[in-house]
This record gives sequence, C-alpha cells and structure tokens, in this order.
Amino acid sequence: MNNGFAIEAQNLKKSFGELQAVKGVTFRAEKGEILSLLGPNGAGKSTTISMLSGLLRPDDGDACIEGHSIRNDARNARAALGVVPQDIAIYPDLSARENLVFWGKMYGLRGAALKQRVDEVLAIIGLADRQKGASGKFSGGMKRRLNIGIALLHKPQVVIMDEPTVGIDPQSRRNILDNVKELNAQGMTVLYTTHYMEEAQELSDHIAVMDHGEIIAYGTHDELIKLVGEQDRITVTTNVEPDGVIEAWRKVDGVHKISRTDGTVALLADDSNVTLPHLFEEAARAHVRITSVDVQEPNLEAVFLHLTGRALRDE
Amino acid sequence: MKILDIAFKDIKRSLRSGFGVVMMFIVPIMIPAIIYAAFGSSLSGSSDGGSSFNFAVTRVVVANLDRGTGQSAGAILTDFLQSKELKMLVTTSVADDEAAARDQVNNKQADVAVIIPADFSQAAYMGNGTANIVLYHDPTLTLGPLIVKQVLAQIADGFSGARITLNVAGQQSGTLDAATTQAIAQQYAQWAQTQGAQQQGGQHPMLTIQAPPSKTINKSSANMMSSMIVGMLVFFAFYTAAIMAQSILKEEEDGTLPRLFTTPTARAAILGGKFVAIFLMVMIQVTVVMIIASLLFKITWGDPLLVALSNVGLVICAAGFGLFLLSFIKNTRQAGPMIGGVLTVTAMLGGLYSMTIPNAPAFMDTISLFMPQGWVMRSWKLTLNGGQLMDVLLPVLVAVAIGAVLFGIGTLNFRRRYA
Repeated sequence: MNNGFAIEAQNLKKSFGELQAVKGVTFRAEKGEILSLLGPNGAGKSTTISMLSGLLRPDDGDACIEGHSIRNDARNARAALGVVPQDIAIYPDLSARENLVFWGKMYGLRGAALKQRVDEVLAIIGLADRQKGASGKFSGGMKRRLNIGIALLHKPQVVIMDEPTVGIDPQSRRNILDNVKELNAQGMTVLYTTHYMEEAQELSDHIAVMDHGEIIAYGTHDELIKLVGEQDRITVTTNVEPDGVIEAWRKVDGVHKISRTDGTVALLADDSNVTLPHLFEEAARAHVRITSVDVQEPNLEAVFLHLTGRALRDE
Repeated sequence: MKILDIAFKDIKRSLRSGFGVVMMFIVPIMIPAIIYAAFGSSLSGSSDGGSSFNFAVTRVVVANLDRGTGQSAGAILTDFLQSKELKMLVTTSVADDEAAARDQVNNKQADVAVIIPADFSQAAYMGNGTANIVLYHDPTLTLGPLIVKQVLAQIADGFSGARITLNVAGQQSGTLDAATTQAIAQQYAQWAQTQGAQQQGGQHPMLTIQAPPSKTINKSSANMMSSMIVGMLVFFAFYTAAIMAQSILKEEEDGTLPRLFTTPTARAAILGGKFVAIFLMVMIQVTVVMIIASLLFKITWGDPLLVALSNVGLVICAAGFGLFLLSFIKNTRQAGPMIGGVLTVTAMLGGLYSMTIPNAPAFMDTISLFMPQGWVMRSWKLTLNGGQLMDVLLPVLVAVAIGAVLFGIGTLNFRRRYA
C-alpha cells in the first residue's frame, strides 16, 4: 500500500456470524486532513474503526496507519493512533490527573515527560482546575473532554473519534468540535465518525458515506452535493399518518425520492416552488392536513436520501 | 512495567471502594467478633497453651461453721476453694455465717453458697457420724454448681479414703490413737488437695499424655476463635480474588478494557496486570486481616514459616479459583449471584464452616478433598495445631497445584475471549 497516507484501508471485511457488518471497505485519509465517516447507526462505521484501532481483527483486507499495517505491525499502528471511543471510557474513581497519568503510561510515557504532557492535556481539555476531583462526579461534557484528552496524551499523528458528541449538551458539543479543528490545525489527521451531517459538513475535508457496511459515496462536501444536482429536500409533517397521500405525491412531476419517518415525509424535488402546490393539492384530496413544511438547499442529508432512498436518521 | 501499572491501578481502585474495603478487611474480622461477642469469652484462646475452654467463672461463697481446734477440715476445704489453681473455675469469698452466705446467693452476689457444718472435722477425721455440706445455688445455674460439687466431692473422698485406710491399719496394729489418726488424715487430705489442684491444671503425677511428634499440640495450638478467623480469612480471600477477577468483566462493560486494547500495550500484559492485581490484593488482604486479628484477639498463628507457606497456598489457590470462575461468566450481572453461590457452596463443602466443629461427620472431610478451599484449610489447620513442615507442605503443594491449574484454565479462557 502507498504509505504516503495517514490512513489507508483496503478491502476491510468483518462479519459477526451471519451478519456482514463491513463488506470490503476501501478509503484513504491524507495526512493532516479530517475525514468523516457519515452514516446511520448500524452502517458499519464503528466496526470499521474498531478494525483500524486494533480492537477487531479483519476477516479480510488490511489497513495502514502512518505506514504501519494493522495486521503485521499492529503495535506501531496503535502507537501512531489516538482513539476516542463513542462511550466514555475513563476510570470514574480516579481523578482526571490520575486517569491521564495511567493512560499516559499505557502509551509508554514516563517520568517528567509524562508529567509535562499531562499538564498540557489538562490545559487543552480545560480541566486543569478540576484535575484532582473524582472524574465520576464530572458533568457529561467534562467526562467527554477527559475522554478525548486521553487519546491526545502521546501526541498521535492520527486520531480516531467515534461519535464523540453523542448525548451531550450544545455547549460541550461546540467545545468538542472546536477541539477537533484545533487538533487538525496542529497537523493531526482526524478520522471522525458521525451520523450528524451538520458535523460532517462543518469539519470534514473529505466525507465517506457509509450504509449497510459499504462506502456508497466518497468525496468533498461539494463533490457529494453534486450527486443530487440542484434538488431541494422538502420535509413535510402531516396531522395524520400520510399513508393515503404518499403514493399520490410519488407521482407528482419533479419528485424523485420519498422517505417516511415518524409522521414526517422527506422528498427530493427538482424545484420546491413548483412542487409544493401539487403536494398541498394531493394532500387536500386525501383529506390529509399538512401542518409544517421545511425546504432545504441540497445537503448531505439529501445526498444520503438520494443514494439510499432513506433519510439519514431513519434507523 | 505496564503490568505493574495496571495492577497498581486496580488495587488503588479497589481500596477506594468503601464496600470493597469493608468486605475485604472488616467483615472477615467482624463475623468471628460477633460470634465471639455472642458466646462470651468461652471461645477465646488460652495464652498458657492447650485447646481449653474458659468457662464463665463461678462465684462461690463459703460459710465455714467448722471452727474446731487446729486445722479443721472446713478450713482445708475453704483454702482449697480459694487456691490459685481453681481460679479459672471458681472465685471464692467467705461469709460470717450461713444466713449471710444464702443472702449473697439470693441477691445474686454469688452463684453458689457452700455451708460447711460445725461437725465436719469430726466426721471427716474420725468418722463420728455424718456431716453434710450444703450447696445452696441459683436453680437456673447448672455448670457452676456441678463444678463446685465435683471439687468438694474430691476433697471429701480424700478425707474418707485416708480415714478408712487408717482405721483398718489401726485395727490391725492396735497402736494408733485418735490424735495420731487425725493428724495423719489431715496430712493425707492436704496431699490430696495438692494432687487435686495439679490435676485441675491438667497434670497427673502418674500419667503422661503423648502424641506422635508431628501431631504434637504445642503452646500456640488452635482454638475456636483462631479457627473461625481462618475460616473467614479463607472464604473472603476467595471472595476478593473473584471480585478482583470480576473487574475484567466490569472494565469490558465500561469500555476501558477495549480502550486499553487500542493502546500499544500487549494484550498479554493487560491481562497479566489484571492477574497480578488479584494476587497482590489477596496478599494484602490476608496480611492485614491477620494483623488485625492478632491485635484484637491475641491469636497466635503458629510457626512463621508454616504460616507463610499456608498463605502462599491460600493466595495462589484463591487467585486461580477466582480467575477460573470468572472466565466462564459473561457479564457482571451474572457474576454477583455466581460468585456468591459458588463460593458459599464450595466453602461449605471445603470445611470452612465446620472446622470449628469438633466432631464433624467424616464424609465432610472426604468431600473437602475435592474443594480448593479444603486443601487450604488443611494446611491452616495443621499450622494452627502446631504441625511440622512436612505435614503442612503436602496440602500447601496441592493447593498451589490446584490454583495453578485453575489459573491456567482461566487465563486460556480469557485469552480466547479477547483474542
């Protein structure tokens, strides 16, 4: 494999019994970029990064982290990598400093270098003044920051972040996204998995869209948007279940894809100005009342809908 | 180095858990202490050797109405009851008269009143008529009055034996007058008193009890309290090992174990660190509990070398068993009931609770051969009972072997799980 990339995955496969979780994934991340793996839950993102980080052994294929094969040179591959797991993985009965010291040792740091790096990381994640408190008593956001800090201790060239903003407040989320940008600005390559298209849109140099264990699209944000052309994404909410009207809407000129989730219907249409009146007419004919309409310019959500026929948050 | 880092981290976390500390260090002491408190001092060890019981001391009050000339038989009897040899059994005070003695029993100031009649010397020395010593005691007491009765009977027998012997000798020789007979009877009674006192102290002038050299009970031999402490120590050492092994499952569920696997630390080192933590923690626990028990209950454990050997057997066997058990458990929800259930049953079958029962059924001893705890208890039993090195070595080696085999199986299971 070409070792000029920070991450290079080639035909990675992983099955769990009958379930083929990852079906031959291939992608590359250039040094110093942010690559997002975007996809709904169950798309295979976590399994892919579990293979990259050495947690799972691929059934087939290989990947290199900074030129180190995860199969043949696993320890060096892991040494080049910082992993931020989706679930917070810290020791709640140890303080923030104790956590960092322990994890630093696991990355091979010792003595003065360890102490200095722990101090630096505490400053980066904003926990210097809370370093002695039991981390189990931290707020969710503080725990998330400590969770990230652990992955930065050994100054890895590549950081993998598995949905680091799940279940936290907007302020902490903002803080984490800013941290990711800052790390990237310092030269770290970041592989970021998310099912929030806004995050992928904001952070990424490249985006790999995953679904059912495969990468179904790869490119920059603009390149992906071009896949759906100039189509608008229209989200319609109705007062009753819209079963009776969906087939009628599907036949309206200019409507390309329809996806339904919990009383909300998402459509891709060439021109929302032309399409919307027809949607209202058909709804009235079926005695369905439209209670809200949202029209969005083409975005990653629309890309996913375009490629899979399903909304990104369907699952 | 990373192995020790992981082990020390685990130990630090365990010692920060209030529940863990209580279960590791307090409960093994508390349970025997509660039993000790419930049964009074009867279970305490004796500092002067022997596996003796210390019964509650009976309070005796003597009203000696036999105040004849010379040393009366009543005085000899009173002196005997007040002798230091009987202090472990009775404490004796003297009342001025019969009514005062009875009052002391009525007022619960004494357990037994001994009323020695005025003509006791006449009857004892000369055989003139009969003289009954009256025992007046609280009817709810049984053991104390029985002891006093036995002591008095012993002295009375001494007087009677001497008198009968002298009467027979006098009749045959025709040379003994009454005064000589009385003097000889007094001397005989005092001799009998001395012998009786010595026998109360466990000695007999004509009898020596010996055991095979390796089974000799020495001065620091086992008593019930130390047996109970050892039983608890073994049980909770196995418990601690299992709980420490459970931390592998807990870390897996908390995500810290998978995270450790993403670091450049070998999986063998990670699991090795967890295993070392189990050994160290059990070692710390055993040491601390033994020190506390020694300070609180003045327990003498036995030959330090044998104690160390027994501890090695205990630590390795407990750690191996804990790892083995947990390697078959899928998650921490399963672990709680499994640890409690398996450890309780194997501890019972291993004889942890029956060690203090003197006449436990023989089949229990046989069953205990199939339990890891049974071999650990064997080594401890021999150590506490003053066994020799060769006696203790066998159960220790068996315990170590069992621990090593279980440890190996547990390690393989965990390595397979996290391969």
